[in-house]
Amino acid sequence: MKVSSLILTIPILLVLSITSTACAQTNPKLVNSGKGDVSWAKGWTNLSDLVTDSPLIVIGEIVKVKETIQQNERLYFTKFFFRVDTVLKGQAANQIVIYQTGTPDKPETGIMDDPLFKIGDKYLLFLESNEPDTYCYYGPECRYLIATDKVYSINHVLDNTQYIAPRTLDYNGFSLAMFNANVKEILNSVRFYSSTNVTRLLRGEAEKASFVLATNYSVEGKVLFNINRVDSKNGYLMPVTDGMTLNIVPNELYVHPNNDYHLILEIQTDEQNIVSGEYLINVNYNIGGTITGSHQIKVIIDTLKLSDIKMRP
Amino acid sequence: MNKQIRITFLSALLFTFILISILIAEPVFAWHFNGHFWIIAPVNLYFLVEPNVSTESWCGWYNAQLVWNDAPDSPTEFIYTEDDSIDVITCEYANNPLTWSGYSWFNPDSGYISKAGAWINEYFTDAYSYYKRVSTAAHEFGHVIGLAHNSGAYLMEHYDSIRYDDNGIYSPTPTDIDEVNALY
Repeated sequence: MKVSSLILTIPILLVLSITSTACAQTNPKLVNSGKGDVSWAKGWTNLSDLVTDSPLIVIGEIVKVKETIQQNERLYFTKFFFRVDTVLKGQAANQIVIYQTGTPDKPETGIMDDPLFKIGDKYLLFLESNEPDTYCYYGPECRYLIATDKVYSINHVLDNTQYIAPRTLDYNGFSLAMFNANVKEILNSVRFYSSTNVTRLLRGEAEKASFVLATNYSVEGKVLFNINRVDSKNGYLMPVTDGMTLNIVPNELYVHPNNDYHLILEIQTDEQNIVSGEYLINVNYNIGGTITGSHQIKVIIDTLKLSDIKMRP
Repeated sequence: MNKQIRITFLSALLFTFILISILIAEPVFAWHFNGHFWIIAPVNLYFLVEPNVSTESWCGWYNAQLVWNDAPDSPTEFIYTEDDSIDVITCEYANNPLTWSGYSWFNPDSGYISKAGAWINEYFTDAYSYYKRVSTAAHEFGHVIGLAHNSGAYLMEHYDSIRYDDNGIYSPTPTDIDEVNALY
């Protein structure tokens, strides 16, 4: 065989072996007949924020349908029993109830990027309680299929392309043990998070931004908050601008280990005095004089006018 | 190594690189459609807002059609009606502690549609500003004419907070309009 033929053959074989290896890894599949298209009310861009913002994180199995509720001709909800095998954050009974939009009896009433649960499927879920002992979740970002101790974000198992996972929440056969270790590492740090990174107001409007201060296994003490504006040119902290009033509620609290504390930042603008533009606001916390940190949110005062909105006659 | 072998080696290397790139590359430019479409362009789409929606939701829906109809190069023509014998889109409200702020449905469930509907969940949207509510309703109108979600500074961005708060979008962007024009 000529040397040139060998040189050509080796890379082709290399490519073919890479291709066949890739094809051999087959993911579990979720068949979805749901035709509803929804906009989720919340989203996250990384695991730390998702962990901090989720009161309950569990791993377990879908056991059976509890009940289906028909709200109107087209809108159905189903409550599923979920057996809890592992609690990564929060507290849960051995069996909880989880809400989904749609009904298995009419699969088309489900949601395109959040297929209805199948009995026997295992999931890692980031949950929030919406009524006593019942939980819901904010779509596919909060739902990960577990198969053979591997974690799959929904985009890798769904039979359609309706969900695009953020790069940092994209898991394709990631080790469940590693995932759990990552969650534990996050829970072992003090975090200060707001689901509002940016808030956009018209002059004179008010808004509330929620914050979570999450403590780790050891931190305890009195917390003081300090709110400043960040100078966009040099990054220095300065007093909040005229025409904007900011209050964090509660503005003082005592924290204990392994707890989440929910706070509200109240933003009030004065139509006459506020100047349209972007304001970077720094909210600083100080626990017991030793542990400090901050979170920044951007407040945009828009040039839009409420008078351009057509009101109901 | 003689010249011919070097040329063959470099060609093989280049060939391998191109082949691997083709194999691992994901399509970057793709339209975002949800599989539903009207038989003709989305014109004369009479929409009815259920009378029991809140005043705030009504403003959301009404202004959402204006921003679609006014967008440059948009083929859409949503027409407000109070006559339930001619509406093809029904705008309703939900108020429950589930986790979506908007929801769209289609009839029939696939292919050409002749009737569609959309909800906004007042459980969340009642706390929104007027323009943010328009952003949510206009996003649902985008689904109703066949668009799927897109990520980033587009009207079809999944999340209200990213679409409106981060990017200030409450009307179709040129990309959203290009997608509609590609579909019809």
